[in-house]
Amino acid sequence: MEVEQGKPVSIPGGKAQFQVLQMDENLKGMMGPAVMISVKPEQGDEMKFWVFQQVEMLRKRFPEVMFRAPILDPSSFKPYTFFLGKLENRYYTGLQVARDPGVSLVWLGCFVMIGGFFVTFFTSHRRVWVRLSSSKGKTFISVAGRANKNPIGMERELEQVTSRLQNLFTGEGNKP
Amino acid sequence: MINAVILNYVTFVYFASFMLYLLMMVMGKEVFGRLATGVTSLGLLGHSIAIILRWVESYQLGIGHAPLSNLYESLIFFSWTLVLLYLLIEWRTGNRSIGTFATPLAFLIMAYASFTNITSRIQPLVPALKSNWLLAHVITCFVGYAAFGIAFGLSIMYLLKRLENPNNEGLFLKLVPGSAILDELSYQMIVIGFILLTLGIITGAVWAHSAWGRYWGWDPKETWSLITWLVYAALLHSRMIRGWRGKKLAIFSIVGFCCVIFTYLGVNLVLSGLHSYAQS
Repeated sequence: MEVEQGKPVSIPGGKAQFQVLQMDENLKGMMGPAVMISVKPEQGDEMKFWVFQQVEMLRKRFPEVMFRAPILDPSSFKPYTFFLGKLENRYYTGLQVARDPGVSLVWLGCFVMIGGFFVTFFTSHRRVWVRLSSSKGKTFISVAGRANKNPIGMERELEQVTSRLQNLFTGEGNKP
Repeated sequence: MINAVILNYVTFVYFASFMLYLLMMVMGKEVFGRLATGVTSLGLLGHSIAIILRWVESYQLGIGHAPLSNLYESLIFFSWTLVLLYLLIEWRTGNRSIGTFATPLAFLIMAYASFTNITSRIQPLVPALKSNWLLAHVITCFVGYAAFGIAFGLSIMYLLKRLENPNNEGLFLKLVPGSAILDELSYQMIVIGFILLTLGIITGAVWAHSAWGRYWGWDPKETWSLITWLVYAALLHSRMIRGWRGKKLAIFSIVGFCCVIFTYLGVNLVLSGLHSYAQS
């Protein structure tokens, strides 16, 4: 008979159900194809044991363990003996489909954020005052500035301005 | 595997440059610093050649992807970006003392890659992940990590500078720039790192969307990179809104870098997920 993993099937003519719990194309890498089945009689306890395809090979290779322990004995459920005829794997491909109509909004948000960074980090509010005052026939030029960001850069620029002014009006007083 | 041999030598070259930077700090002589810069540049050159050789070799083996796909390759690339970034900063600021904190980091990463049982073989990539997003995602992430690494070094320097007794004429910290400059530099590094980390997360999302059909899946790596991102976002906010400076930010940046390290190594070694490149 043909059974599917995980689906309980009733035993022919019997008062029990069995299902394949686990399958392995090569158990432990050397024992060949095997399935673990569980048999559940109408009365009594459930039994679990392995059923092998290459029974004769295993009987020769592991005479001291095979069929001794109930879990390795295909005739554990008396009076039946189970045989594994053929193991077949069904292959399938899983495909996921995603639909995300709002994704363009997310990318737009990213662009806006990067743009915002450039505005906040690399521009600043700056105010510059220039005062001209005269005393004793001389004119004094004072330059002052205020910036909310990068005060060191502002200071450097103002220093440049004052030194340029100094070069322009050499001889006249100038205080930064 | 000539590239792995070169990389072993590069590890020692970085150790030598660390020693030279240290010598410069202790003796207070710039000549050692100039020598250290030369040695580090040489190391970087060898490092770059090894990465290119590895890339070529991967194509010769028929595997054909950028050398950024397993833990070994990512460590190598991390240390490469760290050294490159440091040399750029040295060139921009003209101060060599940061090297004393950047080169040992690069050396340790290289040593971890070369002398532990991490495989240095070139391995094929899972078919689903074969995409040019690999380059974009990994490069942005690791340049970001490297920037955070430099910020970490700068924060430690800042704390050492603060701990120093002002009367003490200690030679060691004489060459370290003033704490205002350290603070500003570390802030700039964090800004760079933050932008790149964001880009890294976004490119990762784009890649995941094309490979798996979803842009965010609460994979441990994704979650931890979000945590790191939030920590640095909090740091930047506290600086901009609350005006935190100096010591608080330095400690904050050290905490942030610990998150980076956990995101990078901890997640791969402790938790399992899709970013399993670090398991072998």
